[in-house]
Amino acid sequence: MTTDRDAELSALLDGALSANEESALRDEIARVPELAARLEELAHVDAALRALPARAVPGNLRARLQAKLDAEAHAHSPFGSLRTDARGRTSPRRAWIAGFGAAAAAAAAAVVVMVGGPANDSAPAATGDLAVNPPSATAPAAVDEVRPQAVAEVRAVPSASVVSGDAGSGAAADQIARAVPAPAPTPRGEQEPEPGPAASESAQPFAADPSRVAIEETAPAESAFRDEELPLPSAAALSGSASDRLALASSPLYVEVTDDEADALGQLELHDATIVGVLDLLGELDELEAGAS
Amino acid sequence: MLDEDVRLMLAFRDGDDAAFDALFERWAGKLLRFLERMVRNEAVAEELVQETFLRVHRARARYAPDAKFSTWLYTIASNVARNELRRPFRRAPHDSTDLEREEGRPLELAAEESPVDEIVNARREGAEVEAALQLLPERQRAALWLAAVEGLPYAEVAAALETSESSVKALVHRGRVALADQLANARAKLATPQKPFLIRGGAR
Repeated sequence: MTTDRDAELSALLDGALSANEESALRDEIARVPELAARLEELAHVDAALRALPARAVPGNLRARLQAKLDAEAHAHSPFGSLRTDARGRTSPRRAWIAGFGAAAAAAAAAVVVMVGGPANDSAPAATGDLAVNPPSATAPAAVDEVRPQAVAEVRAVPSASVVSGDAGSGAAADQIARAVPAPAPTPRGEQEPEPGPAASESAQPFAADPSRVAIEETAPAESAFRDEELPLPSAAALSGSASDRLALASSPLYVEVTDDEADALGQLELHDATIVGVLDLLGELDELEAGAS
Repeated sequence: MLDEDVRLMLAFRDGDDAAFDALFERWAGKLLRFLERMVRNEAVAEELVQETFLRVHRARARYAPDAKFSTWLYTIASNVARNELRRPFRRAPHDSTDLEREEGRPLELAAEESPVDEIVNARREGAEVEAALQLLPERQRAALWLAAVEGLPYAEVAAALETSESSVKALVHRGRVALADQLANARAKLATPQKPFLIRGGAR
C-alpha cells in the first residue's frame, strides 16, 4: 500500500475529505479488496485507541487544584486570606494559621518598635496594646527620623462595618477569637481601649489632629476566592485593644495616618509580606502532614 | 447559540465560580487521558491537568470566545505537556526518545528489551495499543489522539498544536499507519511458535 493511499484512507477516517474525494475513494475501496483491508486495519487502530481504559479522575484532584489556586492567590495578596467552606466554616488548622498570623503581625510590629528607638519601660504589656515608643533623641541616626514617629502613631480605627457587625465580619471575628489567645475582649460598643501610658501618648495627638486623613488598605484584585474571603489582620490592626484587633481583623482596615505615617505604611507592608511568608511555610507544612498521613 | 463550554467560560470570566467547577467536571477526564498518553506518567499527568486549569483560571479575565473552548483548552494542555517533556530532568518513567526521533522516520526498535516483545507478551489488545502508542513521536501521538479519539477536526488539532492543517494530516496519517503496522507485527509474532525456555540447574 502506498503512502498516498494510506494518507487518503486516514483522511477518510477523519472525515477530512471533500464529498467528491470521499465518494471516489469509497468506489475504489469497493473494487479493490487490498484497499478495503487496509482501511479496516487503520480503522482498527482508532477503535483500539478509543477502547483504551479511561482512568477515573481522582476524587481529590479538584481539591488539589483549589489548594493551588488558594496558594497562588495568597502569594499575590499582601494580607493573605482565610477561606471558608460552603457553610462558612474554617478548618481548625486554618484557624490556627490565622492565629499564628496575628501573632506574627504582633511580632513584626514589635520589631518596628525596637528598631525605632530604645524600649519604653512604661509601655503596657498586659492590656494587649502594642508597645509604641515616642520619638527619642537617643535614636540611632541611621534610622529614619520620621518613620519611627509615624509608626508609633498609626492606630487602627474600627470601621463602620465593625460597629454594625455585619455577618461576614462577625464570623471572621469569631474565628480569630477562637484562634488567638487574647485578653478578654471589651464590649463591642467600647471601641477605644483603656489606654496605658504609652498608648495615651500616641492616641491623644492622633485624635486631636484634624489634618489626618483616612485611607483604606485593600487587598489586590487577584486575591478573589471562589468562597468567602476574609482578610487576615495586619500589623496595623493589632495596635488597638484585643476587641479592636478581633473586629478589625474581620473587616476592611481603616487606618488614620498623616503623610509621614503614610510613608511608614510601606514598612507595614513589609510586615504583612513576612506574615504571608510564614503562612506559606505553614501551608507547606500542612501539605506535608497531609501527605504523611 | 453559544457552545456550552464557551458559555460556561464566559460565565466564569464574569465571576461565576460554579462555572469553573462545571468546566472542570466536563474536561478533567478527557485532559487526564490525553496528558497520560503524552507524558506516560499518571502522577505527572494529574499535575498537568491542574496546571492546565490553573492557566485557564489565570487567563479568565482575558478570555474571548475566538475559538472553540476545546481548542483553547487542548492548546494549553499541549503546551504544558510539551514543557514537561522538555524539562531537563523529567520525572520517571518518561521516555526520552521523543525529541530525538524525527517525524515520519520509521520506528526503530532496539534488539533487546524491545517494546514489541512487551506487546507480544501482553495478552490484551489494550496493552498492545498502549505500548505501541508510546513509541510514537510526541506530536504524532498528540495529533492522532486528538483526531482519532477526541474527534477534533484537523483545523482544531492544528490550532491546538500550533501547526498547519496539512502538517496535522501528515502527523495523524503517520501515527495511524505506524500503530497499525506495530499491531500487525505484534500479532504476527504472537502467531509464531515460541521456543520453550530452557532453565539451567532445574530438576535432575
